[in-house]
Amino acid sequence: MDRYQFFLRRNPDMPEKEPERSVAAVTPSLARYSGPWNRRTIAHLLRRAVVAPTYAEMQTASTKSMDELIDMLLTPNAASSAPHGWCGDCVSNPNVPWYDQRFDLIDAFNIELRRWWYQQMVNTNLSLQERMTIFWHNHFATNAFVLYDPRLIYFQNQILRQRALGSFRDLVRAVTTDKAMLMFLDGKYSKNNGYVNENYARELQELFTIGISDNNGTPNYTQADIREVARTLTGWDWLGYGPSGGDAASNLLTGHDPTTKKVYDGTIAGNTDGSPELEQLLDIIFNREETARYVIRKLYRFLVHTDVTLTPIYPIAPEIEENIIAPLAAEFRAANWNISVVLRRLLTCEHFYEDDIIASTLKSPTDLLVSTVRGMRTAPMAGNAGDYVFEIMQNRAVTLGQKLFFPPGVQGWKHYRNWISTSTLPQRHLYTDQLVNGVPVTLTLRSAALFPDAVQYASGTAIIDTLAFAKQFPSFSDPEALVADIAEHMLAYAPSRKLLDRLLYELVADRAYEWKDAPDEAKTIRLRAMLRYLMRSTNYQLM
Amino acid sequence: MKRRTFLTRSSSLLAAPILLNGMRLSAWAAPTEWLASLAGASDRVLVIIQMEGGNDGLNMVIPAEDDQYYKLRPTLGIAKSVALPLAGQPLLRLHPKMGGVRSLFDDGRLAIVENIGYDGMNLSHFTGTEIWNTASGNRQDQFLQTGWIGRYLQHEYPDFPAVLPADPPAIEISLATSTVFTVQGASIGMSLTDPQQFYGLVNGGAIVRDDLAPDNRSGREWNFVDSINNQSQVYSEVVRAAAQKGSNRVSYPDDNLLAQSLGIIARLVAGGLGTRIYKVTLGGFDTHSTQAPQHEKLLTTLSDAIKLFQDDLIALGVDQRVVGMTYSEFGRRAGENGSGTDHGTSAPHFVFGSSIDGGRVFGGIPNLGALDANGNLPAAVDFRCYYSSIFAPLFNLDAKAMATVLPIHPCDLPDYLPLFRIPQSGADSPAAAATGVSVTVQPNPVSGDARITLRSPRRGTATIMLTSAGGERVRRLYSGEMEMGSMMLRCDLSGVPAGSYIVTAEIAGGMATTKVTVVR
Repeated sequence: MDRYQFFLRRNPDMPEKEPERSVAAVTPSLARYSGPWNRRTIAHLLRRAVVAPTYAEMQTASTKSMDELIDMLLTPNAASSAPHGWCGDCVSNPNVPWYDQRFDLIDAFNIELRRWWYQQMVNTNLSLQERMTIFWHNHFATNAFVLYDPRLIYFQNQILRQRALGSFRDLVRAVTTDKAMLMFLDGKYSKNNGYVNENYARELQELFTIGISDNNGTPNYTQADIREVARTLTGWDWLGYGPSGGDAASNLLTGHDPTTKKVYDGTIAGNTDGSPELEQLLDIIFNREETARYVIRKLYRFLVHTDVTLTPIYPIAPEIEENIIAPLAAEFRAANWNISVVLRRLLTCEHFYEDDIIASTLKSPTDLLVSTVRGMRTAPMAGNAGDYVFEIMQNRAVTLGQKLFFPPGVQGWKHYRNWISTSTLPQRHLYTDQLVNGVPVTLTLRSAALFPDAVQYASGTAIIDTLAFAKQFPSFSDPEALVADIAEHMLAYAPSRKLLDRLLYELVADRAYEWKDAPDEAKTIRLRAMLRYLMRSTNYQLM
Repeated sequence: MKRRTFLTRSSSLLAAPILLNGMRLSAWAAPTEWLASLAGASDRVLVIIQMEGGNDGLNMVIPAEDDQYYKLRPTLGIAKSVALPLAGQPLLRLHPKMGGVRSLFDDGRLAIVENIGYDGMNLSHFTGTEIWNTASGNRQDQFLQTGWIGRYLQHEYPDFPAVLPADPPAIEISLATSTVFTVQGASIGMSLTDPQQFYGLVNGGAIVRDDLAPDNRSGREWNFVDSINNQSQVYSEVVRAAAQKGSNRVSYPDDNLLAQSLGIIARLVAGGLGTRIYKVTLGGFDTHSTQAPQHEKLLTTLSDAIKLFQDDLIALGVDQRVVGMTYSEFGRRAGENGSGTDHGTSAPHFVFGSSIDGGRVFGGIPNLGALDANGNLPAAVDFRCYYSSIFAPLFNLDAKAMATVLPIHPCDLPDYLPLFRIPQSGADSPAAAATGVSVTVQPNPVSGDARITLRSPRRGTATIMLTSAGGERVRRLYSGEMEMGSMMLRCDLSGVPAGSYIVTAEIAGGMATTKVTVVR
């Protein structure tokens, strides 16, 4: 049969089906949530904030009110310690890029930085800081392969994490003149007189602040605006890396275009010094309602629900735009772009706790990696045991499709449903299997030259102590209750009876009576089988 | 004999872009029949190569005779002396590192389609890519949520994902599938990076299946994951079997990942996998700065990979049924910015395969004298016509079917580019034999009067058209009623410039073509 007979037979006009999107049963509302405050709603909040609560955190959180928990979540962690072996002086000249002097260290340090970040995420307090740092890393995406100097990545990450819960305008200002961005989006090459480079000017608007169009598709700016913004930003460069590889202020060196610029409906007075021009430019961009709405939409899709099947070129549902995005954007501006103010509002509103918002987000690779360790760890991961786990995380992140510091482009990762494919889903299963079984690892490229205090190529096993995890539960001696409790702890989507029965079978087969007196070794084997099965369920990919 | 020796190429000076000059070809529904006539090609395969980041077409296919090009590109311009000449194309040259592509072009297995784009091109990577992947319009109310290949496959396999076809309908050699393959609620493409490893991963632990979830926000995500889980489980065995049965006849270098990916595809095709569409991606084309070395590396990778792949397909004996094509979200600005180029608009792309009538350039040459206010090139070939010209003949889809694959601005049949090899004689064409229509031209080559003989088993309105080898209509030779049987016309071709032409005759639902060479 001719293949196109299908067309003719089925539906010749083949109208595009309605967009796959919920019709909200209730009008989404930013009003303060006043429904039941229980383990389900608490776990939902914590999953969106730290990916997965530990058992102990869940116990602590269960005694807190919604406001008390939000207060905790909006408190940043204490400043993190530097990455293992971090040094600015281990190269002969800190003012010279690494790629010109210690080429051999670049890969080693990029890996070390990734292990370091997983450590922060796994061991974070109940704080939104780490997850928001990931959000900003994706928002202001820069790629370590392009930069070829891990110091740039580290400094930018410091900017992101220190300002993750602060002022969005300050964040944009800091990123704009930071070395990593000046290099990644070619700001350092953008000069007056025939060398105007539009790269950063375009992405500053399209991806970082105002967005390409409003929710109805009306463009927010023109190609002429891109040109004018590019001229405004000409001349920024940096003076070097500063003493001991530290941060040296970026500055306007040469090649700034001093003439008047017109951006949107505003005018930027020409100046031989580009700094005041940058402030005027930000005034103009941050005076636009759409700037607030664009960022709020992105935050909503990250923390609440993606509301799209594919990518964010699709508008958000009108009822969300009207009832959530617009009012929250107004609050964002009124609060002087304070990120914490809108996070608090968003995570305490009725809409956030709607029944099918819970478990409506696909775990990103980072979420999957971190949630597995966080969900089962009994104490902060530290020492060699921690390093081995962070090593397997950084290693598997590559095959899962989210190598931190290496987003595929300035638009960040192709997230949402693109995260999960026939390639990556089996890899996810392999990772969760490995963490409960234990997997031998070598600390990749941790060279003695770079890290004098470390054992060169230290090897060990990355593993989660599943027995210690399970023993935290008061129901430990009752297999049926234990399975239900662990499933509730690990899974966002309420597990089906079928899944619970199967998990119980994995734990004790049909001999539940043997569990209580089984030796720890036997219990460990059965727990591993049960947890492997649990984490291979569709359910475990949701949060 | 190399196929290109059959023809003397027409000068590309003649090849004014079809859509610019408003000329329309006669009904090019014909290519479907030409291709249907290819022997043994019951399972055709399309391989899509995405050049991510916006490829600089002007430095890939170089308008080396245009002074304006060198004025716009004082540092990045590629000197005529080092660019690779293309047989029969005095105005265009290839990037010096694209020897592989050049040899395929000269051998008649690769065609260049120039100036592909669309009106009001979106210069955002993100939105631009989605427009190409979904074949959306450039307005938000024309954004489609499904991929253009996804729409085709969904209607070929209407019960997907509830019922999976025996072989995966589409495969992306990647960690993820792109939106090209998206259907409602799922992706009809699967992704893999290594067939053997894929099998091992899927079968290395418990197979967990659960029930479908309700149709609400969380339930839809659940069902999506479940569909991916199901596909990986069902297809791991069939993909491994094909990979084991198939083989490669060329060696793909380890440092060319694109070539490696194409090698997997060649292996799977040769191994008998029934997959229709494959996709690979080469990233890194967003060359805003220090473009020259980066772009050179990318084009080397691309050219080497395409050449190796085509050689392998030929050696494996599957080359007649595989066609490759490239695309990118946009081209780059005509003028450089010092060391790189900013986002631009239209650009050239490659179509290759043994069934492609290669060695030709479609869509004219870049018109650097007609840049828009932002310094960007105008488009001459709409990307949906580019898609249609490949897709419709390859998969034997008529215009109505194509309008459902490309519901926004579908390509009009007359705008199709005749990319596929046309049987050399109307009388010999199996397609013509099927409909009983044939057309012959004598003498051939011809300089003045030509005798055209048209045969048809049915009466009807006959149209005979003369078009250039590049696809542009040159002259309508006849239009009128004809009785059953044969008819001879005498046409004066003395006013037609020297070159290769195609005579297309249509009557009563049948059609036939033949090539004619005009000499002076």
